[in-house]
Order: sequence, then structure tokens, then C-alpha cells
Amino acid sequence: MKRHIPEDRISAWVDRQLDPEAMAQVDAHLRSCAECRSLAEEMSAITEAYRSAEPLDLPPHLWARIASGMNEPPTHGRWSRWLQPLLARPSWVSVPAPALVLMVFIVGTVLFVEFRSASRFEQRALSQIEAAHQAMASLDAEKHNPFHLPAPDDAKVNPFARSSVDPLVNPFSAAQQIRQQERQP
Amino acid sequence: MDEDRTVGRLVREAQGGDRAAIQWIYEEFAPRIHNFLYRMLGSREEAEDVTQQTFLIVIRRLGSLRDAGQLESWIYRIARNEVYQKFRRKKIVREESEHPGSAESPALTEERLHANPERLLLTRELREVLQTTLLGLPLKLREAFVLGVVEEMGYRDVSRITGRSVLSVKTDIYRARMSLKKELRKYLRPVGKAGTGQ
Repeated sequence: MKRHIPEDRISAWVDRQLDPEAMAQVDAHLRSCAECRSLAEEMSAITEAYRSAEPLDLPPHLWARIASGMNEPPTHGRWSRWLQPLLARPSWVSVPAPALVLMVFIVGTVLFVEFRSASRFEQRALSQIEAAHQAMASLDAEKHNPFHLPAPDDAKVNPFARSSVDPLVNPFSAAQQIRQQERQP
Repeated sequence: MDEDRTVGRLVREAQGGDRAAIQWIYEEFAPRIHNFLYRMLGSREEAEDVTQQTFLIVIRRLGSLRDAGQLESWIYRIARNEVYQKFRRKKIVREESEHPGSAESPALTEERLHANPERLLLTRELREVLQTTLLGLPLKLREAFVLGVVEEMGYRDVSRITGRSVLSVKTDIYRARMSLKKELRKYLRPVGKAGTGQ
């Protein structure tokens, strides 16, 4: 059974779009195969018909319409006007320099304020914690006793009243006991 | 080489706003773009409108073109995108007055075709038949055929314009040819195979 050239290859041959070796192969086959040659001729005829068809004349007034359109602002809905200068720039400048500087300034300011506030907050928090540690270390619990009195027994005001003598739950009691011990000779 | 330098110089001048250079670009490419658009859209009015829109876009975006050597395919790409935009926005209806390929039209009745003693020449009727059958192709096949066959562009250039592979372009052109062959057989028959009564 005779092998034929694939029809899409014949189509590419008509357009001269095969590499030189493939073109020569198809040329040789078409010389000996009437069926493929007939298809190639039909395809060529269609090609010629379309290429020979009279082209449409360009309307003479079209340039005048385009020229007047050049002076108008773009009406194309896809792009806003402020994007046009960006698109018109050479490729190595992707963003205008002033806009870039402004962006860097804004970002830098935000970061500076955040860090400065954060560090100031941290410093304040740390100093308060330090003061609390020092007070606790001094066992001078009276400074931090909201009642400025020995721990009352009234449970309504002293949450540790029931266990008021137990230093493990009542830090004020512990401080009192330590002071009493110190006063004793 | 000299031509490339000339095109490069003119593109640079056009990018700088030189009106004469912009007009040169229009005069150089508008006839082919206009014909391409007519073959794609099937309407003179649509082709004129889209040609105008295409070149307005070309003029506005010329600054973004990096390689003057790609000017032609870049313009075709813009024109092609405008065609697809148009098809997306609305259904394009062929104006029957411009394409008398229908049964009601007197231009292509069986009688008229076979009254000619010779095979049908490349007359205005044939151009309309060719355009009618072309418009019967799916958009993808139509654009590949118009660019690769009618405009005589290489498959690589067509691939660059349409964004499809060279292999896809080759297949699309082949399929368009086979479809047109089948449709045109109805119109381009020798007189020897006339209709009834002959």
C-alpha cells in the first residue's frame, strides 16, 4: 500500500513553511503520487484565490479621524489617565523616581514610628517590672499593701482573711511575720 | 539593513511625538491592517472603526515598544486583540448587503453561475463568495488562515501574533484550508456539471 504525505504537511508545503529537507521530500513524493499532487493543487488554488482577491481600499478620511483622536484624552476605559505616563516610559524605568522616593519615605516613617513606640513601650514596661521586682525583693510589702495596715481579718476586704496567717497565700502576712521576727531581739 | 535602520529611526521619532513619523507608520501598515480586519469582521464599517481604534492605541502605546523590528507583529497583535474584544462585547452579524452569498441574492444563483461559458473569474461576486466562506470559519482558524495564507506571514510570525505554538498554527491553517475547500466546491464548479435541464 502506497504511503501518502500527511495532509497538514502538504498544507505547510503549499505555504513553503517546511524546512529545506522536508520540502525536498514532499517535492519528490508529489512527482510520483497523483493523489497527493491533486490535493496540493487544490490547496494551492484556494490559496491563490484568496491572495488574488481585490483588497479593500483604505478610506481616505481615516487618517484625519485618527489625527484628531490623537489630541483627545484617552477614552479607553481600561486605563486611568495617571497610568499613561508609566506606560510611556522606557522599559528600564518601571516606576517614576519621585513616586518611588515617596513610597520609601512613607514606609520608612511608618516603620520608624512603630519601632520607636515599641521600644518606648518596652522600656516603660521593663522599668515597671524592675520596680516591682525591687519592691518584692525588699520584703517591704507595706509599700504595696493597698490597705496600709496589717492584713485585716475581714474577708470582705481581705481575700486572704481566712488563711490570713498562712504566708503561702497571704503575702502581707508573710511580710508582717518577717518584720515581727526582725523586731524581736 | 538600511531599511531596518530607517524603521528604527522613524519609530524613535514617532515615540518622541513626531507627527510625520506617526503618519508614516499609519500609511505603511494601515492598508494591510484594514484588509486583515475586513476579512476577520466581514463588515467595511466595523473594519474602518477597528482600524481607527487600533492605530489610536498604537500611537498611545508606542513608547512601550522596545524593539522597532517587532513593529509589524506588534500592530497586528493590537488589531487582533481589538477583534476579540469586539466579538466578546457583542455578536457580530454579517451584513447581508455586503455578502450576497445567501439564496435570495441574485449574484450567485445556479442560473447565473452556469450561464457563464467560462469558469467563474475573479469578479466582485467571487470576492464576496470567498469572504462569505471565510466568515464561516471559527475565529481561531480564520485568523490563522488570514495571517498565514492571505497575508503571507511565516508560521513563526503568526505564532507570535496569536500567542499559539507553531504546531497549532500549522494545524489551524490546514483545517481552515480543508473547510474552505469543502465550502468552495459548492460555488466553483466547472460548467460541465451544470444543474438540471442542461
